[in-house]
Amino acid sequence: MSNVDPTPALRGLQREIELMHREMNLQFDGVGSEMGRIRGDMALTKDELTALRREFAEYVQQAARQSNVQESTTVVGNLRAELERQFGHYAVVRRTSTGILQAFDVGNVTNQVVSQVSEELIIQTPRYWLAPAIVALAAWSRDDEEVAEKSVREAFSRDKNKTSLFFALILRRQGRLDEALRWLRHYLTSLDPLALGREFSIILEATSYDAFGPAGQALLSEVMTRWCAELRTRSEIVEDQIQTWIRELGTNREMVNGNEYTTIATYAPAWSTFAAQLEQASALPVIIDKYEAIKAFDAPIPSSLEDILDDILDTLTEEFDEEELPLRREVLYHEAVIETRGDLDLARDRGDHLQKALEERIDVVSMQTRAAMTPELLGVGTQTQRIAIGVGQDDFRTGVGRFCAAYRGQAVDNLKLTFSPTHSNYATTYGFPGLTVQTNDDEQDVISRISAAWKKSFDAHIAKISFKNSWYYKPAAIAGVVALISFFINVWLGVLVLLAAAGIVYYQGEEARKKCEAEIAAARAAQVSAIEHTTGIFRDAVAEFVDARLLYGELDAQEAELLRLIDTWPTADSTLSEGAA
Amino acid sequence: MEINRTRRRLNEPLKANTVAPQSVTAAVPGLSALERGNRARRRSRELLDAVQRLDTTLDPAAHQQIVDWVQEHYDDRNGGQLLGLFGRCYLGPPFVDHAMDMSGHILEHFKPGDAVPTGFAPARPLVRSEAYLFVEVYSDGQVVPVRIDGSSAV
Repeated sequence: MSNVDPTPALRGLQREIELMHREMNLQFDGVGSEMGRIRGDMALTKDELTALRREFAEYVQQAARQSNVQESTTVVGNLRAELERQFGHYAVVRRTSTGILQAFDVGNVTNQVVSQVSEELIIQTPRYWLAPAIVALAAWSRDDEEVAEKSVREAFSRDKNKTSLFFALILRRQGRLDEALRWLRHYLTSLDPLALGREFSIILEATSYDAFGPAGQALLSEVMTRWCAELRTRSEIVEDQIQTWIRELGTNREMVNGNEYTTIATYAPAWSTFAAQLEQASALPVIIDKYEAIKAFDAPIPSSLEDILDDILDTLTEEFDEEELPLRREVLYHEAVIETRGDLDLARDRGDHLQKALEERIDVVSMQTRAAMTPELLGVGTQTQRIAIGVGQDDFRTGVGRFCAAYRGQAVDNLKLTFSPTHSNYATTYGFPGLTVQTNDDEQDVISRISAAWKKSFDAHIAKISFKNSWYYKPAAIAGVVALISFFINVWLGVLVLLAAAGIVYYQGEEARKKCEAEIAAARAAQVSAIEHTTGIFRDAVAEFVDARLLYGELDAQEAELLRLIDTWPTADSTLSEGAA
Repeated sequence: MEINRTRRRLNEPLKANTVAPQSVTAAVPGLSALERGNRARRRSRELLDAVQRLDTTLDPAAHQQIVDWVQEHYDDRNGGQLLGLFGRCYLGPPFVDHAMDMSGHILEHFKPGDAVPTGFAPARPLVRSEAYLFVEVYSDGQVVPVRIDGSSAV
């Protein structure tokens, strides 16, 4: 028998075990909260990094564009200076030609001065066709047939088309209709309708103002009708015009405002397909606005035929010198870069579209199409443009039809929404398995699928954190060992230690169980919020998609209005016919 | 009188550069100019009416009659070998569209998930558009949407 009092030893033991436990719990809690913090930090860091990367990419793009604009601005300046340096003296000749004609009208300048000025010009501008043409004019006015003829020959040898056209216009301006017609016929017969020079647009412009009188008009109308009828039997030429109209539509589309569709853009991988479809359809109202303005254009009543002819002569002498074309082309491209605020791809696209109008030789049908779309590049006015649109009515109509059919053929009316395992902080924290739904799925059905997916991930999480009986193994083992040692010291002490240890283990176990239950309750609350969050995303995405589809419907429906605009084009002469039934 | 309307627009200047998809507009090789012209010619009112009647005619004999008439009409049009017509289905859910197969003279209705006969797939998204009455599918692969007024949309 022992008379050792076991109580202090027991108390010490109990304290030891409690301390050990507290330590362990503290450590576990510490690790747990540390893990949570790290996870949160990581999610935050990832978000911040993504945002930073996006901002950086935007910044880089913007900086690159700014430098593009700067570069192009410098280049345009240099090119203009180069144009002025190389071809500036042509401008003097051009101004002189109009000046001489006006001096003829008024009759206040002596022939001698005119001759002297024009002869100086021919020396200063070798190779330029206009200089000998002006000398011929001066000789003509002083009845010097020999010089006149020599000079006309020289001008003709330098540029036969422009010289013919020039004299046709001059003679018409001086009221010599028959001679003008002869030059005009001369000009027309020398042309190949498949390879017209850009100066032919002068003819289009003159025709729209009836500038050559009734006989000239009849001649031009006959030639044009014959050429167009011939060329339009060639399907590749017609196809070319249709494609040009499709491009015109394509380059006039607008962009989707990214801020209005953030949710659907984030969760629907195929959103870009729908956005593209929306953007294609957006060209319709732009084109309607553009061409309605042209249709509504009231041509100012020309003050006098002389003024019109002077304008046309100005255009002939100013716009069409091929030597200047390479430089002008570059100017055009760099201007497009500045206009598109440095977007090189778009600038090239727009530039190409405009370049086409500067190509030296095109067929008569393509020239009309270009006059319809980019009259400023052909140097023709809105009146001519209106007529050209009428001529190309069928191509325009087919172009619109194909443009619309192309995007409608790719049309989607339903998008897949992907809720990835990282679509929210909840998803990252609680191991969301991922879920894919469709925008046109039944809402209740989608909500129950979202709930089920969340339930699955939370159930797994809760199973992991729930209180397990295995918790008891370690403390029970420690208690057992301590009790066993106590047994060796004293049997009663052993019994006491065993009872006390059991009590302590039970108490600690209950504490742990309560803690787990609190954690489970918190997880269940988080589950409700997670379901609400994902459902909210689904609803927002669907709402945005419904809006986008309504907008698409409104834009797309405007094809009918555009077709009506084309069909009722004032100058048109449609060939669309009812099929034989 | 000036009408001041504001059309719905996107109002964001174009930045990206993507070319319009051209899948349905591919030129058909080997089609004669005559056939091409016939294919582009506006469809007659009778034909449009007949195709629309297909939806509402329930009597099989009358139905067959219309199908035969349509077939004959297309033969006369001489616009190339027609595989069939594809259109929106007005039977209501679950059916969304249907195909009139010229070879079998049958009308077949499809649900959204159903596969359509060979050649008809490109016509499917097109018939969803309100702008078209129906879509012609030719054996050379060309798909021609037909507008309400009977004109070819391509």
